[in-house]
Order: sequence, then structure tokens, then C-alpha cells
Amino acid sequence: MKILAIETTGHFAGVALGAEKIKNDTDYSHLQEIVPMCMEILSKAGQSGPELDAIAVSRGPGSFTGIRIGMASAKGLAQIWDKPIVCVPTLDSFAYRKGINETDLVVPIFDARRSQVYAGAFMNKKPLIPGAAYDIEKFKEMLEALIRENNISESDVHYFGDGCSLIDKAAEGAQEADQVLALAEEMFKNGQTESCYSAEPEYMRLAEAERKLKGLE
Amino acid sequence: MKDNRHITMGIESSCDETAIAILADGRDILSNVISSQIEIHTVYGGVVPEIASRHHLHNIPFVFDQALEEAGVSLSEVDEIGVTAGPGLAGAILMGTAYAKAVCAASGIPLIGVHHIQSHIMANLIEHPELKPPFISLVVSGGHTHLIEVKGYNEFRILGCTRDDAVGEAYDKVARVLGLGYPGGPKVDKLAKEGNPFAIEFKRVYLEKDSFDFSLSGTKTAVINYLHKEEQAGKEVNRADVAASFQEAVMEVIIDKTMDAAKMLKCSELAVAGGVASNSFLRDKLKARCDKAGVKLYIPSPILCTDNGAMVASAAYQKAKLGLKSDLHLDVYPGLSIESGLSKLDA
Repeated sequence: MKILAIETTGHFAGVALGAEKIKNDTDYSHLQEIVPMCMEILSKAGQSGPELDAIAVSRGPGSFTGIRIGMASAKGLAQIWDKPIVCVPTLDSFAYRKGINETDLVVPIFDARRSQVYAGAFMNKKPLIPGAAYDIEKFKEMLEALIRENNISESDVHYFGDGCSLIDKAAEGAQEADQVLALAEEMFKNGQTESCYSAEPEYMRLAEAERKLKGLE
Repeated sequence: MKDNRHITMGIESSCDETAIAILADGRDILSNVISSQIEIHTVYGGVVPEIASRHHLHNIPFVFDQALEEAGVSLSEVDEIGVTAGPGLAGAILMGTAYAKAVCAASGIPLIGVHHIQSHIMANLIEHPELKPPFISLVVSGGHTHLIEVKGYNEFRILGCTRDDAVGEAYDKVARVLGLGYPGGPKVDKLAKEGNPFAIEFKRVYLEKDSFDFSLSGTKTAVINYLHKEEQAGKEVNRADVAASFQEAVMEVIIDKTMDAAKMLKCSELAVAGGVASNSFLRDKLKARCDKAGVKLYIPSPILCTDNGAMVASAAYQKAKLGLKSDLHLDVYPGLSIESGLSKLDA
């Protein structure tokens, strides 16, 4: 299976293909770097775009602008190479991270501002707290209850993302393209693909003007 | 190339229009698809950048297909792709640029980043092959009010620009206080036709002698103050007279300064550009003044005045002829200067 995975929802953009992985080391330079990185990894892997089976993209949540840069790039590549797009839920991708054991609890937490986090909790690739937007305190309570009720040892809990400090935890890392690739491969096998026309981001939040219009703030 | 003709695609997404066009030999419009979001933003009373960006992302692959299909051109026949890389709403220009880069990388077609105002000016070349630099250009739109000396196809000098509101912005605000809604330009223009332009003497701001800069917020504020005063006095306001008098005041200054600039530079050709170039009052007044002064006036058809892909393709075609192109690391520049920033776009 040849899938090119794109991750631009966090601070550092990344791409993965097969065993190859490239991560940009400059903060928020997604637009400049992501397309050149896609071409670089294809050449590193000795592949060409038309030979791919699919383009995978981390669809959010995360930085709105980052999500869109990845999605626009994926759409352009998929449209020209006539490939399907696998829209990978960003929080769920942490459950597919390398080095995670079946008994580990994986907890990605992104700072969503406005006293909220985009977060979830996963064990053995299953969501125990589904990835969504939560009030910080509410998520903290849910997570503590989950850990307590399942007798999970704190050493088996792994926190990721830029929102960990909001619940006083230290992050072991952030978004990575190879975890997006790992989940994308499973989704592709299950036929969970979109086209360049139907692929949509998952912001998990309306635009501020829409929230005001609907009286949500 | 198609039938021995040079094919250029232009992609524009700097505000609320997702637009892609195909030009042959830099002049003939084979397609000019514009997906407008005006209706979406009307409920907010103006363009909301985050919402515009979300819609650009959704629309762009459809607009791309439609542009090729209507032109009867296959992608392999496209010689270069131009894209607006600034100025504009950051999130919005990002969408066209990110997508264009992916398309160019996947197809091997050269990428050419262009300046939004340059595109508006180059829209004039599409219908007027006889127009060649040097000439002067008046750029009037929702975001820009500039007097520019066009020294070459990729060389510009700013003679003056607005120090506060852009002309389209002033129109939008006046439309709002007159209860006309968004977008304000065409609505004020239409209502003004029923009014007396000399009914109310609104403030005109000329700034320093010999300055080609504009200040439009004073006139706009004069309108707002006038409406307050009349309301407080319990008088009924003739809205058509207000619209006509506002338009007269704003356009008189713009036209006076434009004619002064043409005279100073001894320039006999003037090209108007930008969305407000569709304003019928401006077109008629400027035509009369230019005729009197012996200046040849160029104004694109209304469809080429609004944000569109054809103007981007026109600018990209001229850059291609100069041997200029961008690389795939192209960034976007929301505040890009047309005078000193153009080289940032080139590889």
C-alpha cells in the first residue's frame, strides 16, 4: 500500500510514505514547505505521485489555517494524480503512534483556547473518550474518572499535544505524520476514502462570526 | 500550448471570490469561472475571513474543473499557472496558493505568484491589446485606493494611496448607515442615480498640495454626522440625495487627483482597475474629464473589474514573457507592496 500522509495541524509540518518520514523543523512554515516536502519524500522513497494508492491528510482538529493548508495541498495532489483522499481524524491518529502498547492510555490534548481543549483518550486503538472539543475542567474530570475506574497506572498514560499543560501534564510529543499514515492505512483498507471534492476538514468549531450569529457567545 | 496558442491559468482567492480562468495568448478568455460567496457573507454585513477561507477550500477543486471544461483545455495544455499570493486576506490567499502549488507540483506546470493589484491593472490588457506601459492606473476597490505609475509589466511606482478607508470600504459604511446593506458600492451607485449630487455639500479632503494620497474617512464621517443631525432635528432625509452627494464628493477628489497625476507625468493613457471601476458614476465622470484633457481612458468590462481569474492569468502571462516564475516554496504576503515587494514572489 502506497499512501502519502500529510500532517499540518500542529506547529511542525510533516509527511510520511512507507518507512520514510520528513518533519519540518521551522514553526508554522506549512505553506512554504509542505508541497516541496511531498515531492521530496516521493523521490526519497523512489516513488512517483501517479503510483500512489491514496493521499492521506490529517483533517483536524488543530490550527484552522494549518488544517486548511494540508487539506488544500492534498486536494490539489489528489485531483491531478486522480487519487482518493483518506481524511484522518487527528486526535485518533495518536492511538496509532509508534511505541504505544495495547494497555497504554493515549491522551492527545490540543489547546483550543476559550477554556477548551480538543482532546480524547484511546486504548488499544479504541476511543474511551471520543476525540472532541471539551471544556478543560470537564475533560479533566472525565479523564480522572476513566483512569480511576479502569485502574490504569499513571505510568501507562501517555500525554501528547500542546494542551497538556492545561491539565498540568507534560507532553511526550505532538502530531506526527507517521501516525497519520498508520491510521490512514487501516482506513484505506476499510474503504474509508473521499475524493478531492468530498474531503472536508474537521475543525470541531464554528467560525467565531457563526457562533455569534447563532447566539452561541 | 493548444492549437499553437499559449495557455495560462489564473487562480484568485484573495477575498470572497474563488475564481479560476483560462486565457489563450494572454488575451482571449477561454473561461472565467467566478464562485462568489457574497450571499454567505451578507448576513454578517461584510466578508468574514475565516468563513471565506473555509469556503475557498471547498469550492476550489470544482471551480478548477469547470474552468478547464468551459475552456475546452486539458491540464497538459496549460503552460503556466498564475496565483494571487498577496495582498489580501491571509487565510483566503493561502487557499489559492496552497492548492496552486500542489497542482503545479503534481503536473510539472510552472507556478507564477502574482500581486493582486498588478492583476487588476493587467485586466485592462485583456480587452485592449494596444495598451502598453508606461501608463497610469487608478485602482479602486473594497480594499485599495491607489494611483500607480505602470512603468513596465512588472514594475510599478505608487504615486499615492489612501491613508484611511479604501473607496469601496467608505461606500460599504455609507450603505450601512443608509440602510442599504452589503455590498454597498453598487447599491449606493444605484440609489444615487435618483438623487441630486449637489443637494448636500459633504467635506472633500485634498490633503497637502501636490499629494496624490487620499483620505476618504472624513467624507464618510460627514455623511454619518449629517444623518445624525437630521435625525435629531426630526427631519426626513432624502436618502437618494445623500447617496448622490456622497458619491459626488468622494469621486470628485479621486478624479481631480487622477487627472493631476496624468498631467504631472504627461501621461496620455489612464487605466482604471478594481471592483469600484464598475461604478457608473466614476466611469461617466472620468470619461468626460479624460476626453476634455485628451487622455485615453481604459476601463475593463465589469466582469473583469471584480476579482477574477482572468486578470491573474493576464498578469501571469506577462510575467512569463519576462521569464519570471515562482518556486514551490512560494509564500503568501497579505500586505505585499506593488512597488517594492514583487521580487519576493519570484524564484
